Amino acid sequence: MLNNITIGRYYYKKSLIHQMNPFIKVFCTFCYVLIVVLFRDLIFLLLLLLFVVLLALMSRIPLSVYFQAIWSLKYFIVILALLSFLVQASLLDVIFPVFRFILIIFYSSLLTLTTSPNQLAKGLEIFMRPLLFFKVPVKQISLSLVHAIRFIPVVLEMANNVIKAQKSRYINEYLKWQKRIQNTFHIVQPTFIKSFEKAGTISNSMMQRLYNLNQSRTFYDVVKIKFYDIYMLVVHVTILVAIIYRMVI
Amino acid sequence: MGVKLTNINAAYGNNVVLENINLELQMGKINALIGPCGSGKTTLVEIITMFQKPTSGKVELNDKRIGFVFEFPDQQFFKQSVFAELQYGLKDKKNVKRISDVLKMVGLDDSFLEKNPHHLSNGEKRKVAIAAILITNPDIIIFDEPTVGLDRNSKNNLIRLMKILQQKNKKTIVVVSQDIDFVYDFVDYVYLLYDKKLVAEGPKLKILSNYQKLKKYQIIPPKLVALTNKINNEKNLKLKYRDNINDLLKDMYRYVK
Repeated sequence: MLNNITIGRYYYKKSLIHQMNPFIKVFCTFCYVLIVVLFRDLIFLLLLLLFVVLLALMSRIPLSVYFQAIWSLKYFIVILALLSFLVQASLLDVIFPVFRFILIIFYSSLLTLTTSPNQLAKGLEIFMRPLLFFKVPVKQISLSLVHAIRFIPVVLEMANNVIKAQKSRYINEYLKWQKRIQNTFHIVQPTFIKSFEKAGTISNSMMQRLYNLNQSRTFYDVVKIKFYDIYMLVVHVTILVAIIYRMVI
Repeated sequence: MGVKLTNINAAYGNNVVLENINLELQMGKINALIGPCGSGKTTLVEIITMFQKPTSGKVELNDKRIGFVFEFPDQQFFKQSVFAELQYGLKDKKNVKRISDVLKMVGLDDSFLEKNPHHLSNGEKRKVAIAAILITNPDIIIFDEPTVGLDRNSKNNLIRLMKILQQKNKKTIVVVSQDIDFVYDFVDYVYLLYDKKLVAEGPKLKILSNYQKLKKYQIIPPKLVALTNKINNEKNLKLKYRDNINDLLKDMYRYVK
């Protein structure tokens, strides 16, 4: 049913990508997204695809998991292509946004699949720290972001359960398309209610552990910046600077 | 014709979970699906209920309506009151009498109608979950691990209800359970799954009294079978296997006499 949606899921493996510093990973993702958006050359985008495939192979997560993440957004991709087709004239103008979108999903899946929610929160918090200067509530934002990402599979699982619960009462009838459409509306409301209940449970358990956002906090596992972190950072930043340099000139 | 599965294979990615399953449910009887953890029971049930499709093979439901009672009732509930939960399965939404009747059948009264099903006790939740399925009037009712979290008394009530459903309402019951003593108490026909395959099927006494076979398939034999075996071995008797302790005692009494 909805089991093949991988957005927000953490996939544990022992790999260099998993062991990377979360801040560096978030920063590299930011650079990659900028590179993809700024550059407009099909061959270069293909090279970027090769690059992310290489990183995906290094993560030791089966490539099928990444493809699943992209495939789960197929309808979105189709809508994007249709909209581009309506606005733009040439076929290349349709291909570019779709290809860019796929690359961004691929890379962000690499980030979420190889980074645990706690690490991701830490990475995002450090990444957004400069915004503290403008009195932006960075801690709150990073925690909300991570909970939102982490909640996607939870909500999908709940929706799955509701679908099963409904199917268990109308198994034969469920196969008819009219019933399927009717049931879709019945899925949304209980899924929302169950999600809010789950959110309540999480907030209760956080309160029981005396979680306080304003408290200065230490981390159980201190992730240091290692050689391959610097290497990845240099690669990303170099490509980005080169592109910006070329654009300016 | 009942539910028939032919050459069913199932896999999650490269992980094979069911291999070449051929099975036909015994209609009008209480069937049990047993097997150790990871033998493929849940997947098989999900295929019968059409929650998932097999990798290959044929599932014939022959127009039989199937109701599925979840292992954890909380997962089954998606409405905020018992009334709404039961009403969902009704074709005629105004048939309130049917809701009361079904509630009575499972041993609850109308005072439960306005309650939130999530806030009930374990036993009551189980009863509401069964009522929510019964109201759709299915031909086959599948119970997934129905004894989880129930005391002996509630288990006996459940057995009584299943027998009523089978004998009076002519329903086919399928029980998926690891509680062998519970299964041995009242089922008619047993399917034994082991290592992704259906390794044995037959009447309860034939399958569950085969001590060697059960051990081979990592199933702890029912206590009554173990007791009968012990008496036969130690006292050199030839007592028959019984599914009721009173019958076994009568047999022993006859021998003593």
